Amino acid sequence: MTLTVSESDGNTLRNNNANANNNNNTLNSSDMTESLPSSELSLLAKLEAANKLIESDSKSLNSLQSSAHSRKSSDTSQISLNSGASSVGEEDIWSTWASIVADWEAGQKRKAPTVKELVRKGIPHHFRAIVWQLLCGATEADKKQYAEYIKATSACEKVIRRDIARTYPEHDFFKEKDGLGQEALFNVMKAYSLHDREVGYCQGSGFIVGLLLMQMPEEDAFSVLVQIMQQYRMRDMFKPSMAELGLCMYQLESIVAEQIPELHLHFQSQSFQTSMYASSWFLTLYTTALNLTLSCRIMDVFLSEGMEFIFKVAIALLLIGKDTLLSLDMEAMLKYFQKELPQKVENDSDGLFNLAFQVKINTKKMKKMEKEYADLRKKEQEEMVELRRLRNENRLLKKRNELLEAESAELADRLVRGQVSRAEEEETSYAIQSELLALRRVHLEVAHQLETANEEVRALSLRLQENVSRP
Amino acid sequence: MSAGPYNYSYIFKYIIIGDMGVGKSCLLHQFTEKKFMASCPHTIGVEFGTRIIEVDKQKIKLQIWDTAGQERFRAVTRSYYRGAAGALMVYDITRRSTYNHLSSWLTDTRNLTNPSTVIFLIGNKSDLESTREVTYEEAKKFADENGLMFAEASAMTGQNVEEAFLETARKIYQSIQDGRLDLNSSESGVQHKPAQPGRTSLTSDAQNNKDNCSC
Repeated sequence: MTLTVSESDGNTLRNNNANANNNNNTLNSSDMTESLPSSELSLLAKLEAANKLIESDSKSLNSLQSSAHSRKSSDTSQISLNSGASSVGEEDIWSTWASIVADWEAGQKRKAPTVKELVRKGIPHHFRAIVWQLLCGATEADKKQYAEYIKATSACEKVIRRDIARTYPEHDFFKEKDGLGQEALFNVMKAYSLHDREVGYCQGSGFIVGLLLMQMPEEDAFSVLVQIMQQYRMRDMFKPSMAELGLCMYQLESIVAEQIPELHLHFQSQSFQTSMYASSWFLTLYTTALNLTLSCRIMDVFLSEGMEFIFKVAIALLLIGKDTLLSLDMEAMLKYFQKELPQKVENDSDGLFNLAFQVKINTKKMKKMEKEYADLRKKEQEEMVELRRLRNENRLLKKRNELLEAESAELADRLVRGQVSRAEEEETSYAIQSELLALRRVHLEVAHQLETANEEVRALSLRLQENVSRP
Repeated sequence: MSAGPYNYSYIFKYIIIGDMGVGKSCLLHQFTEKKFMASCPHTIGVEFGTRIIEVDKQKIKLQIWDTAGQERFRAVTRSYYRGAAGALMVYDITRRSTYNHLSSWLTDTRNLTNPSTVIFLIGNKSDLESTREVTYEEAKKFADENGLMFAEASAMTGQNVEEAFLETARKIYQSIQDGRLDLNSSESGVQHKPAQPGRTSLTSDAQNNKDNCSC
């Protein structure tokens, strides 16, 4: 109940760009609300609705709020209004929403089929801020806490700052350096990094926060962000391991394989991985892939139906692009996902939504895939451990190999040196042998000469004896 | 000129890595579009760009994967390292922390790519001389010690951007010519796109004639 009034105050105040007064006024109005009986409250809600009708009639849509946003953003209001107005009259839709908001009982309405159907038709622009908060169950406690967070300092501030100017850089509300938009974005991101230190800051989340800030003041945006993170799987998506993103890619791939098998085969033949086209769809809930009109409508349904709807939109996009995609190679497909496909669906947003609503996602199978993926990841991690072990072992073996090589080089060297010295020795021994041979020859010769000389001596002594005996 | 299915003979796969906000996407944009992108949303996951260049009279298509810089996104970008022929590792010369993280980026690159992957170190934002925190000499020394190619560049002015991408391609092409890079390996990051039969001989004849003439 309190939400209704504080939201509308927030809205008006933001139109005046009087952010500073925002908190005070919100507090006043909630004080006021508490003192009002419930019959008066619903009357107040109806008055509000009527007030908004008048606003739109007098073309006050061109208020500061919409002029501060880009053209895309003001399209948002028009298109969602039109889509609502097509079946039932605009007035009826608005009073229906006014009464839904007025007697909202958290937890019941989100699941109520009538609400689900209405959300699917698109929430009127002026109701988005409040309905988003109601759908996700945003709490007053978080809003109160927000005021504390922005006074504190976060370890992530530097990193957050780095991306602030790079979040919706073309959007009027965010493009001015250190302007209101950038400050609001910074504050909410910083507050969240303090609220959830495990996630801290993760690139991509800023686009979701930006989309919220286009609809509502900072503390409301913060309270919705907290719910989106905690209740809608997004927190796991942004955690440092980013394991949830991997799981979503795995699930989406399995659904594509089952529901659009020919496209799956084509992707495989082109080595076109799911993460190449779909990681930003899941991380930013299509805010970086499609225009703001579509992003808002996707957020409407996301908050009412959950992550399953992100899968449904993915399948619908693939179905719409299927025929073209089948004729393209990897590179052309990437470009198609970047440009043509978004243009195509932006021209026929109802076509996209109607198709997405028809997509069936089997919850049981999704659970099964979750298990499969966990096993796969476990195996992968084991393989990583194994790989690291092998790498280590390899490094050790390499070192050992180097040592052995050095040793073997030394041995080879020694061998060569041995061979050389042996050859030298052989040469010496050969020289000695030949010298010996020569000496022997000389010796023989000398002996021979000696013998001849001896003979001669003997012959001479014989002749001497003969001469002596002859008188 | 060519009416065949491909007007290039090779595809080289590149990956651009480095800390948040060093200008990876802007370098890619400057290279593919030849202009500076002043307002560029930060990259979620991976993005992609291509351009056809010429090395040694060979037309080569560069397929460039641009990655998100935040540490935790490495879980997502890891699979894109595999099969990269070239890795452009970027730091910001005006922010020392981005330079200090290079060794961790290098370890990742070495572990996830193959030994023949050419790594080019880019010191971006060379136009912001007045706020420089990392000297050219220091980075050059780091590059030399680790066997990396290196240049300082500016995605803003375009200085050296072309050179970094082209030098990397030349080195990869050289590896192919030397036979150091195995074209048949799926992880080489290079795909050969032979021209249509008949067309091959025509073009090579033309090439030969041209060569003869110029002699």
